[in-house]
Amino acid sequence: MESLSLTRRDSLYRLVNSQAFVALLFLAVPVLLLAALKIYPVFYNLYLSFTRYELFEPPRFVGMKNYNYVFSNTVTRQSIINTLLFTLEAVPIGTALALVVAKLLDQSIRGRVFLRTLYYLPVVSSVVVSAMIWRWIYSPQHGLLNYFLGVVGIPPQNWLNDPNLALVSLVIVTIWGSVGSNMVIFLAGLQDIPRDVVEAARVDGANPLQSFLLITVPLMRPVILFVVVTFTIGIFRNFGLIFMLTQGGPFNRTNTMVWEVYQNVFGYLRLGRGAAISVVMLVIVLILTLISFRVLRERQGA
Amino acid sequence: MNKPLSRRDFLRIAATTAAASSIGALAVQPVAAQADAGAFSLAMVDWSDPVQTAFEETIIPRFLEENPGASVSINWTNWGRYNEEMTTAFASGVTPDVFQGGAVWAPQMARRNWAVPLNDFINADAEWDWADFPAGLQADVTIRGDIVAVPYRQDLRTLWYNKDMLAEAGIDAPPATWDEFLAAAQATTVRGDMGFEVEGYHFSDSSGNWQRDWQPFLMWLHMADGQFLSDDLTACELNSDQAVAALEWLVALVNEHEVTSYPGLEPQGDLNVLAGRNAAMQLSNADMERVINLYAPDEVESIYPTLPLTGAVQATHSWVNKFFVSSQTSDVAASWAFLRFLTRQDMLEVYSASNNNTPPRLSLLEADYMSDKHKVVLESAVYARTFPQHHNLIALFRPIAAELEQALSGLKAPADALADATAAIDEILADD
Repeated sequence: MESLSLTRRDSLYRLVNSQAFVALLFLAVPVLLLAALKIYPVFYNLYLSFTRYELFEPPRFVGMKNYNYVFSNTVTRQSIINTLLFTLEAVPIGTALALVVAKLLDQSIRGRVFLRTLYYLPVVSSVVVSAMIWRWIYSPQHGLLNYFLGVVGIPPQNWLNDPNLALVSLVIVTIWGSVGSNMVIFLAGLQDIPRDVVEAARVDGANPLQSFLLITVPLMRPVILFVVVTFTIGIFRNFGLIFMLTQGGPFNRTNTMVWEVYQNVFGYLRLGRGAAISVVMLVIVLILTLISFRVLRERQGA
Repeated sequence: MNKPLSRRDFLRIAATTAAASSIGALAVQPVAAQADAGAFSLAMVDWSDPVQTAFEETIIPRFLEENPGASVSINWTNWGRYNEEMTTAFASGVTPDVFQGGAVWAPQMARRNWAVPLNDFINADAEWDWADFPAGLQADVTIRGDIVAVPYRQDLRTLWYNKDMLAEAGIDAPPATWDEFLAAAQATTVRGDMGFEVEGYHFSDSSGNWQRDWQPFLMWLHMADGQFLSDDLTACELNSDQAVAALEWLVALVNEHEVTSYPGLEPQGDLNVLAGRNAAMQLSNADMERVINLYAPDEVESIYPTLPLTGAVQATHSWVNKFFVSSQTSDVAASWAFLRFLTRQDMLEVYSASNNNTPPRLSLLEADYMSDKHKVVLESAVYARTFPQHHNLIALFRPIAAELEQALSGLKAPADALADATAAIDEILADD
């Protein structure tokens, strides 16, 4: 009996003293935090999306009613369309622009570090500060943009209040704010492109544009995929700009899904509806991500 | 004998401690409001430098002087994030003992049981004098017989006008009726090549605020003798003849008479459109006087308030802001005593004077800080209507705000816009 007990004690000692145990202990902390702060809320949100919950009384199961609301309510439906439009306008243009800027700043040019810093500056500015600056730039009567338009004889535009311009105006601000961070990712990716491939193309007579389109872009596809996916997610979460600049208007044209979640949860205390919209958001992001993977991976394999 | 701590032992201890701390932290339950008779917490949304100074240098020191041993912590915030802050505070059980709330908060708080009914305290306290609050304000904070809050400010709006601009246009007296108003607006409007230089009437700013049109429309709705909801709060009445008349009038001001731009001209920072001489008339509250005194002293002798206009009736709207005692406070009686102090006549005078707010107590009508202009604003109280006591007003406002945009932009006939708004609002009411 004593030897058996000693064996158990030995194996326990070995287990506790093993590197695997220590590693597991370290892993337990982030895993627990991840479970508590990310995974549990996702499942709780899913549960709430099937309930009517207004905080002051317990959640009440309502089946698919909230999802029915999401797809039947005109305002919510428009928020889905607006979000998709926002994404379709901002992601391709923003990604392409960041790639071009990265490529240009990857050359040995004078002031390269300064220019990189300049492009990155919007990333380190707070959304509130950025929004305040852009509100002034877009101001119909006192704005910088309309001033310059006036110089070339173009009448002033009501950037944030014109239903045809409001979403585009937000897209411009979003691209301005994201070019820097995407540029840094592309710059890192550009370092991995073998120089000899580029030089071989040049020897074969490719001009810089052909080299960029036929060598750089294909080799950068994994990085482009990463930027497209993270940028898309970022746009779906884009709340601060809308809060500060348009509050969903005019005519609900900038009313995106995340703004609709906010309105339902904090404005009307309809947490179930807000949860349902956010679940739909999650599904749309997943679909867009899968499409991005498919498009960019297929071409990579081709 | 003392074996030194190996690197592995150290890592193991560190990891175990971190894991245990994480588990412990996750297990922490929300802490209930910690107030006792001597420690008070207060949430203030009415945040401006003068108000903060009044509280920190006069009101709270006076409270501490009268209540030795007490302490007060104030959380200053602003409207932009206040609703979220209070909602999450209630959800997590950490609300302040006493908190400010806006014009539509009383029915919300009552419905959610987040505010303590104060009837017993008020009825037992003759010295504090509830009768000093006008009947309309009392009614605004009384939900199904429960007094759930105490007003600290009434945001009364009336017509402000630039006397000089009207005089230059040959108009000697401020308008009193809709027809006189239109004549004055037409006479003072100035349009240039690039659009409006001066709006005869400034309806709303071109700010990114979805309530920008709804709030001024409400006053025209009252003047047309219309109302938002039925008296029993079960149906929207925006498709009434009165409401349609109000919106048709406004649409005509924008599109037919062209005396106001839509969206309206922008304020220049703190200088609003009237104070900046970009408009001749505007519906506003007593804050107009504060702004003029502070940022446009040259206009002090030019800009004045007058009583609300008469359409079908003479009317305006009052936004009543109030203090609540949280249902999560640990000591209701002590919190009431704190609220009672804050809304005492002398303290309300200090507070109201700090930011030129319109006081909710009748006894402050003749307070030293009340200027002649402010007294005119206060006279408007007789004509003021308040919000219907529905608990979900914010959700109900949204459809009308969207439809107003359509009508004022000329994309939808006023009657159609209001019919659509009514249908959408009735749907929300039915679902409620």
